[in-house]
Amino acid sequence: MQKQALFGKTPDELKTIVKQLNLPAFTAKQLADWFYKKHVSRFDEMTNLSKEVRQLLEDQFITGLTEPIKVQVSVDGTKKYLYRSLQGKYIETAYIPENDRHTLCVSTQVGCKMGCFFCMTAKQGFQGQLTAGEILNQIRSLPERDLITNIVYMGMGEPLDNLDETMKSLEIITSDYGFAMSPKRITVSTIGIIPGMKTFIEKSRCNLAVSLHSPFEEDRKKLMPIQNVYPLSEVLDTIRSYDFSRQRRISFEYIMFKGLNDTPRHVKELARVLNGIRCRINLLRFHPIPGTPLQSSENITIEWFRDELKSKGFMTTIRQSRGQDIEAACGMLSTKELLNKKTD
Amino acid sequence: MPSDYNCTAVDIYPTHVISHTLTGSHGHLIRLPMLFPFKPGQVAGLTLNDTIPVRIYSIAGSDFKNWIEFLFDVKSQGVLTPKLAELKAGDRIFMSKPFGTFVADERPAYWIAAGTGVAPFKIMADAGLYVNKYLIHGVGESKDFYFREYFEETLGENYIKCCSRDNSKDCFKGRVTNYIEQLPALPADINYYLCGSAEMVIETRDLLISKGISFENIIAEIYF
Repeated sequence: MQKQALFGKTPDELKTIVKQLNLPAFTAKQLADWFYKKHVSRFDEMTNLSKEVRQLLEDQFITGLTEPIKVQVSVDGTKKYLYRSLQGKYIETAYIPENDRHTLCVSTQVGCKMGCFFCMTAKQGFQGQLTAGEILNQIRSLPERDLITNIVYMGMGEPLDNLDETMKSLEIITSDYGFAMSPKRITVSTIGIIPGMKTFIEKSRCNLAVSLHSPFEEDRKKLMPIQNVYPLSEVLDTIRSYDFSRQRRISFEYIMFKGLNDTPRHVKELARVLNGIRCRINLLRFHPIPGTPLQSSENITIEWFRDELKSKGFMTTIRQSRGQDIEAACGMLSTKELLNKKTD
Repeated sequence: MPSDYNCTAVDIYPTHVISHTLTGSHGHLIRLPMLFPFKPGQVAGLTLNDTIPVRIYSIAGSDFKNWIEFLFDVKSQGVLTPKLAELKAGDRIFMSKPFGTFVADERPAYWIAAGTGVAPFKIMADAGLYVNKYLIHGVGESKDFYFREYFEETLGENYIKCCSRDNSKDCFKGRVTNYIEQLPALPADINYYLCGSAEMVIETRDLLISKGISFENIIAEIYF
């Protein structure tokens, strides 16, 4: 039976574990400090624990920390890291440096269940959930860890379909006992899993990004099967029922598909459905993937779309495509080729 | 361990199990009182208490007045299905209001399902929407053609059974995608409704597109 990993446990979870081991309760805080403040990788580095305790932990647990097994570097400086999960599956993580902003894009699942038409991760199907520790390991084991300014949960998987582990990882990232990052610097992206959205909004102070991609419900159905379960109108009603006027930000992601969602009627409808929601709209280029007959809108169209939305009072930006040459850009992450790879 | 972040953010209503029937090699049909109106094809959330996250299931049957039914099979790693499988008549259960937009109409269409993904098409057929429809249903074992007799009677030769493991009479040996692949042509001007696991939906969608079906004619419901 595989040993349990301790990295990624909350203090309460660590307290339960140390109690079961008949260790003093303060051992839990010591473990949290070693993992989240002092960034040790091995139990034998935890020098304020006795040798016996360190051996006990070594015998019964693993840290759960793993190093990336491969890195690809883009011409634009973006790096894509490959990690092996504790179940022997593979995930990708993108590190996107830009001037004084260094963003890490983390994955929350191996593959994805949601079947969005424009996403390469969808094409590999779903192979498993990541634990909070495996989500956090992407941060902790990053060689550029100390440079990270922002974290986005926009990698492989739908974070709110792995709600418990996503929320635990956010707690550890933002808590004083953990990485102590400001929630303002963290954004979780969702395609609109309403129950998960409500829990996230009520229990976290991080930012939320919602994948929109079409303001017309019937069109959105064809791009995103989730529309059949949680229609956009209900997603927006849910958002409207919360206050986003303070520090927490709500943004909408809109991939621009040529001839599909980049017309004047789309601008008009987008403005109508988002009316009254204080938000930012991020326009993204579509990055072509095999077997999907969609194309990105032309740059001139994307810029026009942005200007039209701005003229209607919406804060709108065009997200730069980064890491396209190494397939690290939005919608390109995939470990499909590694699905049958034997692990050591 | 109970979840600290469970999905209590869904409004759920107490009710009880009217009956629990086994079907096929590992299918379960549970019947509950019909608390709310619904559209054929919609789903509802089920749970047993406020510590278990609500999970979504397609409504599979109803008399449209007194009861509705849900079809599921047990996922060994699942949080809810192992517990649902133990329910007996009279046991308490919680249900959300039906929701969702995976609904068909009278227009000709192909219904393509794998395993318990046949559930929404069963209720659509119950509602009389079976005219001008083809159903392609894929299973592993031939005893898992849920509602087989019903569809044979309702759809006749428009009901295609695909069985990947058994060599069963009147079944195509292979998966749904194997069946579709060997079809010479598919009508391009009708809708294709897909329901099943993510892998099945994605593979089938890609295959339909490769056979000249526009993605705009493909409507999918993925089980998650």
